[in-house]
Amino acid sequence: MNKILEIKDLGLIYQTKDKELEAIKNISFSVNSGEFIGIVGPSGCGKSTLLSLIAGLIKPSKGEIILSEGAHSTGYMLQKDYLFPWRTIWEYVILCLEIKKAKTKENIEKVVRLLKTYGLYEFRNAYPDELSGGMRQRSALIRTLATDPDILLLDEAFSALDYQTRLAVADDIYSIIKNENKTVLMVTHDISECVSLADRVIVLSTRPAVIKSEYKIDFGNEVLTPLQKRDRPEFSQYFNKIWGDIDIHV
Amino acid sequence: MSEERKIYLKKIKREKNLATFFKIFILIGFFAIWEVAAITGIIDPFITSQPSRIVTTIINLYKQNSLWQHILITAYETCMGFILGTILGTLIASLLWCFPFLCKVLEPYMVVLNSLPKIALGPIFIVWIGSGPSAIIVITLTISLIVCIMDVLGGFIATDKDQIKLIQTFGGNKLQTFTKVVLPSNLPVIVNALKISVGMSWVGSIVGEFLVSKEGLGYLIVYGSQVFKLDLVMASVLILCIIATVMYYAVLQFEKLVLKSRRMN
Repeated sequence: MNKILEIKDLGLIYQTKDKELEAIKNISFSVNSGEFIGIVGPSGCGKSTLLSLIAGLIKPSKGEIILSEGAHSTGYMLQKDYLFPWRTIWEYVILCLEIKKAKTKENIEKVVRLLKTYGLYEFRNAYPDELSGGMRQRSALIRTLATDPDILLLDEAFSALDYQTRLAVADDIYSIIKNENKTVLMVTHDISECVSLADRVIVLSTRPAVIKSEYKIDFGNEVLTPLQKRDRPEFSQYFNKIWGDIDIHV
Repeated sequence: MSEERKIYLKKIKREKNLATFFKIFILIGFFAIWEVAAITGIIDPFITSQPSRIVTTIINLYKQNSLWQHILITAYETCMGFILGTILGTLIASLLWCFPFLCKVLEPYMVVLNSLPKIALGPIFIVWIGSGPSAIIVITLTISLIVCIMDVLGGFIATDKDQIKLIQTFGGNKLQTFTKVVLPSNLPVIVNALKISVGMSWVGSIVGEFLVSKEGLGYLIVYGSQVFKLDLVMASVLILCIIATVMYYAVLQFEKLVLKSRRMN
């Protein structure tokens, strides 16, 4: 497996008017192509900050983020689906191409293919308020995939959905991601979501975030959906181990 | 339809009819009492006027071919005032959003201008621009401008941070952030500013005409009071009530239309 992303000794200190805030400290890990990495940690530990750093939205105070040769872009999916009520699904999924001024025939065809493959093509002229939560999330994913990013960054991508929808949508999004063979870095506060989706889980500490532990999630050689994984005995073992590491006190 | 539903719908309908009845009753009652009081001499129609004389006055104005002219000139000044005020206000708010430093520097000046009763500037504009509709439009515009800037800028600043972040993850620049997210998501705020401006613009145009004018409803009111023709004053106020309401509803319809077309209602 070839390495697609390497993070070396990453650190970030926020400057605010009142004080300095160390959000992230000495984080190092690497991601292989095609891997699904889950990052969990207590709320407010700097998980989202880590993704913003990788996406290049903010500059690190220390350390390096190295994208391997050939890998050039990241796609970001945020907590809420953030469809725009004033844009149809089609106008929305090509938003990124519009901004990057990359509305080439080739890219447009690709978006059409994605919409057709994932059952949204006939809804392309619909507005978000006409779609279900799951379809909206799908549109958001297709919007993210439209520019063919090498690494997908999911920031609590399912948190805004209710529990049942969330399980179904996670299954759905997972199968699309695997189908498109994407590398994923997912940040969540939900341990079970992390164990059911990821190949590898990185546990972060409270602020300043450091890597507390790392687990390779192994359900044997069978191909399982996230929902099926939840029924496996290994699932609760992983869950308990990670729960112990996160060490939440109320 | 179930029996219960029928009773429920009937109850709603009866309540609505009753409300409509009282609305009309108050209107007719008000004018009837006014008329009777004037006829029987309880009030002096020379200083209070009376409905029948108001109607005669309006008919006379119409016969002299000046009724529409007065209405149109005042409506024109008001419309230009709130439309230009909203457009200019939105433009300035956009600039201030794009350059937060400029916003910081200008803040105290905005506070001063906001506190200042803009009508005080009226005579200055008349001296600079000359008497006539242009000066009145500028007065009208000034009244709604600052409030519009502040409302719209407030909306711009409160734009969902994550929607902005989304554009940034695509590598969008400030201008793209503005045109793709900030402006479209604040359309309701801008249309609302337009709605607020309508009411304020009437103040601008009428007071502007009080200061200096040769025609318009404000002119009729001031002229009527100076020559003690209260019939003329009351007739003008009545017409003003009607067209101000019509204009407000027109803008309300416009708002509904815009928001519906953008799926933002």
